[in-house]
Amino acid sequence: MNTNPLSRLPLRIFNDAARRPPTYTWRATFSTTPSVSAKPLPPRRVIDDADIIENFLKGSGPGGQKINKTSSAVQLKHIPTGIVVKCQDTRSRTQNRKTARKLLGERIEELELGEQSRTAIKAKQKSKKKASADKKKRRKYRALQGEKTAEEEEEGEEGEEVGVDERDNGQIDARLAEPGEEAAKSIDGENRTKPV
Amino acid sequence: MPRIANSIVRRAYAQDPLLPALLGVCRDLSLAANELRWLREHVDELPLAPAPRPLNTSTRRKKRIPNNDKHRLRKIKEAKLRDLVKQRSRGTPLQYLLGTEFFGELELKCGRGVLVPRQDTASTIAHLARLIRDPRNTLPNELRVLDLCTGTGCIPFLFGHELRETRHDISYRMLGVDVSTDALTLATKNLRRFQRKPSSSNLFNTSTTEAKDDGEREDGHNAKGAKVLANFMWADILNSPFEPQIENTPLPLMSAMNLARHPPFWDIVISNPPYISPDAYRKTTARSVRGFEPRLALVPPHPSTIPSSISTGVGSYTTSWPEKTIDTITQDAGDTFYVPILNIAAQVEAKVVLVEVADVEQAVRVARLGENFGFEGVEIWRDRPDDTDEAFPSSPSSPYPKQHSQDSSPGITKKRETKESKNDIPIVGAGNVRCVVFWRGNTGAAWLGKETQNDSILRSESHAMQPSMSRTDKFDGRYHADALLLASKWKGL
Ligand SMILES: C[S@@+](CC[C@H](N)C(=O)[O-])C[C@H]1O[C@@H](n2cnc3c(N)ncnc32)[C@H](O)[C@@H]1O
Repeated sequence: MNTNPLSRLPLRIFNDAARRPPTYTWRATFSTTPSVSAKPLPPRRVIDDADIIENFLKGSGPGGQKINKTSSAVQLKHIPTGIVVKCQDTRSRTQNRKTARKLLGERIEELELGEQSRTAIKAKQKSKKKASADKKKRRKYRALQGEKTAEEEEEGEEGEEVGVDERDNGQIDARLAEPGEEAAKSIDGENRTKPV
Repeated sequence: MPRIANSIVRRAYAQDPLLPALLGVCRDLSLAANELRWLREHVDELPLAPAPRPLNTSTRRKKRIPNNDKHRLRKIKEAKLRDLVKQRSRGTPLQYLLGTEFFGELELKCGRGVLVPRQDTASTIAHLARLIRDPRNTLPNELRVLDLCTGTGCIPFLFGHELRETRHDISYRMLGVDVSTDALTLATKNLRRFQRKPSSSNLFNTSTTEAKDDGEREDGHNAKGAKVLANFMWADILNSPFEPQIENTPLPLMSAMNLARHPPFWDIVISNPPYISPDAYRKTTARSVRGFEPRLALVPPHPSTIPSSISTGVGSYTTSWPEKTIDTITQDAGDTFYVPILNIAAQVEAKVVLVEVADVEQAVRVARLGENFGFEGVEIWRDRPDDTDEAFPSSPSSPYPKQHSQDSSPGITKKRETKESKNDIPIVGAGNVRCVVFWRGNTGAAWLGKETQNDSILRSESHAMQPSMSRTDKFDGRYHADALLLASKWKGL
């Protein structure tokens, strides 16, 4: 199974992400409580390119015109933490370099923040969303039966964005576009939804 | 080549029965698995027509393909995949089978008869463009890049794509030259693709850009702003205007450029010419390259078959050679193209020149030629010229102490190599030696971010001088027609 969610995305989204510099410094503001006051996370870890050893696997040898290489695999090692990530999803080495840097950033954050890391939160959020989407499905069904209430209508609107099929896309988009804000929005949204 | 261990073949077979066939060319299980995945994805996307419907079916259109048709389609695709795997296992380059190759951020069409663009070339070209596009650089209103031996056109496309990532303030004019009509056909197809799908590159992604075909081009600028002018031209850079011309063969570069009314002056000359000697072609060139990619793109013709004014440059731009240099350039049969290229670069008054080379020995031989053509600066770049401490200044916010030099984990080679020098020529970056970069004058040095003696003066002055001293004004026919005439007479155009 392919464990990288990015590989299922259309290239267009890659390219948007590609425009970003390899070190990301976005900040996340979200609250873990339903309260409105958003507590800012510490700034996202800056990965210093000098801390990375990059290796193009199967990329050694003479090169140039004498050989026609097809390997586009990229391996990154983060020296301070020893984390190694590898990406060989696409035929574009440039794309794989970008994906690998993104993965590395996530792994480092996971290591440092554990449960507080964005990926951990996302994972939690995802399972919650699935539950809530299931719940919504049931509500919609009920609504069709003519039992719709005002409260449900409000949540139903939001439900359009959390369609089961689009969830991956939405999530990645959020992470690439303006992760902090998106995360804040959806987590707040989650919290409004009562746990099932 | 060593035989592949039986255990690996068995593992490959267990993974996919088609996989063992690819082990021979890939020499590596995970690469073979990747290639098989890409081939399969390619076949899946092929627009295979379903079998024609029998005539007696009901008039009602069925939306779903009947089961037996789906089955047929799957059979066809399976057969197609098996065929591609077979071709690949016999050495056909993967990119010919898939029809495209990635070159930096671009995807280019490629095909039999034309060299497949190499990733190493892409990284040096992208690096050059990133240096040139530096916001501190004062560039002409129209930056002109001449690519000799253009093949698919990959080099000027990628340069323009990278340039226009940040510089929309200036126009970009590119001209790709090749002797092969197959190459020019493919390059033109690639141009059309970028034009048709503006989002696929930065070249044509705004309404202000446009490309013109050979022949009907526009002079100068209009007030609308920056644009892209992309052209390809059939010419032979080893042909001499002083030799009798044979019908239906490509003209010498300058004659062809003049005839097509391309500008005679170019800021940057780039070339990835054929550079493998017949000997190295036989001994050190990969079988699948030798067997499937055009020899014309890889091995220069024997020096005796080209006019001596071309092979030595004597009588054209340079008038004499120090004896030693002549020896150097005749020493290797892979070097044939470099003198003609540098000669052309000098004639078009290029400020920066980048030529690809096979290895460090060739790089040093080529680097030594620069002086004779008026180039004051020279540097050798590796595959990843940006891979230096200098290019990645450590961020002060990094929480980690630097300790990378002690690292020696298996499978990971040391990334950084700072500048070192061989025969006093600086070598930049990491990886294998890949190209030689020349520059001329303060402009060339400044564009590459080199500190020149009067660097500070130049930078402040050139800002003040814009735009009155920009190249476009200087060579604009309306203002300097006589200067242009004089120049072309002078160059024997
Ligand atoms: C090594 S390939 C480079 C192609 C492309 N620039 C790239 O990097 O992928 C060399 C190209 O030079 C062309 N060529 C060979 N002899 C030439 C000549 N005398 N004048 C112009 N082009 C020539 C070949 O047709 C081939 O496309």
